[in-house]
Amino acid sequence: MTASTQVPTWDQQLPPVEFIAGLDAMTVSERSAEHLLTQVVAAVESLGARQITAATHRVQVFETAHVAMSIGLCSTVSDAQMSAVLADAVAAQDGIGGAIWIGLSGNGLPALQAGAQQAAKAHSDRSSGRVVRFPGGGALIGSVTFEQLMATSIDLIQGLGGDQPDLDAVLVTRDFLRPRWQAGQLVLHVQPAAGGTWVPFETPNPTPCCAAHG
Amino acid sequence: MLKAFENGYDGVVNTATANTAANEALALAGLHFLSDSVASHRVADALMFANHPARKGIDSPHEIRGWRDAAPKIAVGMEGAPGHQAAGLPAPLGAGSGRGFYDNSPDPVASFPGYPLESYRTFGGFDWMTATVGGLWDSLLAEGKAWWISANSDSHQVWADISQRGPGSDFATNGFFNDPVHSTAPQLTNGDFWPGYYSRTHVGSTDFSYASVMQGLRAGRVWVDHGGLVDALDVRLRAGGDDVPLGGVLHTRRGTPVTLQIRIDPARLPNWSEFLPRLAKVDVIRGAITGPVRDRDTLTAPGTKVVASYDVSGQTKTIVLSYPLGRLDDGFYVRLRGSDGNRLAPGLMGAAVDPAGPKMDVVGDADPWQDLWFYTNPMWVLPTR
Repeated sequence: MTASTQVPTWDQQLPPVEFIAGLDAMTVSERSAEHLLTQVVAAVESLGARQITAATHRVQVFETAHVAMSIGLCSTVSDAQMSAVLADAVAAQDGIGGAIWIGLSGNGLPALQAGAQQAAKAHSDRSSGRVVRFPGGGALIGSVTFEQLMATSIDLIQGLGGDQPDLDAVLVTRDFLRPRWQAGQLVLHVQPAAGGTWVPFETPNPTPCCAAHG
Repeated sequence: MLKAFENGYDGVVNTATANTAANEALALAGLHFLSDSVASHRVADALMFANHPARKGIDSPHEIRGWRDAAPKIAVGMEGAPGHQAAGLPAPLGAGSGRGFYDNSPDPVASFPGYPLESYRTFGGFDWMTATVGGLWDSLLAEGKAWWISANSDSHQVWADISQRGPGSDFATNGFFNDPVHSTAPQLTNGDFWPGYYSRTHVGSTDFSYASVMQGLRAGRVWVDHGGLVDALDVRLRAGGDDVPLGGVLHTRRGTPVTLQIRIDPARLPNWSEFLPRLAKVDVIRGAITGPVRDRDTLTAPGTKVVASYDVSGQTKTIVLSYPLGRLDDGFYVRLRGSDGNRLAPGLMGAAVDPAGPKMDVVGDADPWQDLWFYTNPMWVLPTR
């Protein structure tokens, strides 16, 4: 949603405004939602958007849940222009119309506007959602310390299974970090790994269930 | 009949694995198909155990209760420990994956959203539903209904096997893999053991027939172990002059003293990894019977905890334990668990519930032979009016 929060200007342009949108193209997996988000991010970056946070959300509009998306950013372009770009990005998907939600209104397929609205709200409340891209996240490749992680927009590291890493412990990122919003905080869940290191909870390529079983 | 069952109800064949009402209905229809097949003597007997139940979070608590209540003689339990126990062996000599290939995360469409992230991992090689004292399994037992655990190998592709799938295999098109061929090197990224090599389900059977083994499974006269930790185990719940074995329900008057009697033969021979496993401790887990749940997605049992822990390390002869459970008031159940003591941590419900339970397995560094557990099925005692 549009907010009047002032953040530092750049490129001698108008003061950028913070902008949050929900998007719903009825994707059925996080993987396909992430694929779409990559295109959305590229589109808004070409408009000069910065401080981009993009996430996937479980939403329930129909009986079966599906995956919606959200994007938060700072930019100097008008809301109308940003909306047009986002609406374009979700509408192009496989010939299926999508929907977006910004502020208090949406456009696109009415049923999916509800999903886009849920995603936008979860993003602005930071109540739930799985974050695919966040400020500072791009530098977190290879192995990093938890101290480096805490210098990004990640608020909290949560060890699974009872152990908690020290700040100087090493996280092997596998170049795949998917922190989650929980009660207003961006939380990265981690688990112990080989050689005293840690790895994120989410595996880049998890074993498909029953696929190789034949 | 198996073919009809697979074609009609297999979740993968029918693209019906997600946690949706329609798929849940299909699973129940599959159980009814099995019930009808037994009733019409199309087949002599049938049992259903849910494999790797927490691995992808797709079996919700209400769905498990639904299976149990729809076909209590057929849907009798779940894997307490999944197969693929070699999958956590460190690379390059192993797959370097999650033990049991438990390396998934919640799927927004297919998974039950109420499961915590920990549920997607194993604890001492066991599935979260079973390994959590006061967790999902206990919440089923606390209802006073049977739900048993097993431990199988899920042996598809065996660690270090020197055969591999035939070249040019195309399972998606053909529905099968080409006949295996010799491989020049051991297949170290395979995650499974041969049946019986590591995971064992011990069934109290009256003879060697399939029918009798199935009866034993249905009765819950079952305990499971890993790595040959225990040679033999005999557990009885005793009150007055009566006793029941694993899976049994003992009825006695209020005020009657109840005793748990345990005989365990520790391993006397090396296991398939060529070492003698050593049992270090035996835990008694006790839970109150709280009756049917109002919320079918209940996944905790606050009245269940570890009530006794015996240090049995160094014992080479038969271990005989007798644990007094007090005079019977309200009904309860007990079950046993034991460990080699190598990897212990407070349970997910806190140290007051389980001070030294199984530790979450380390992804990519879980040597299954160095973390061995046994679990028994429960026994109940109920007051007669």
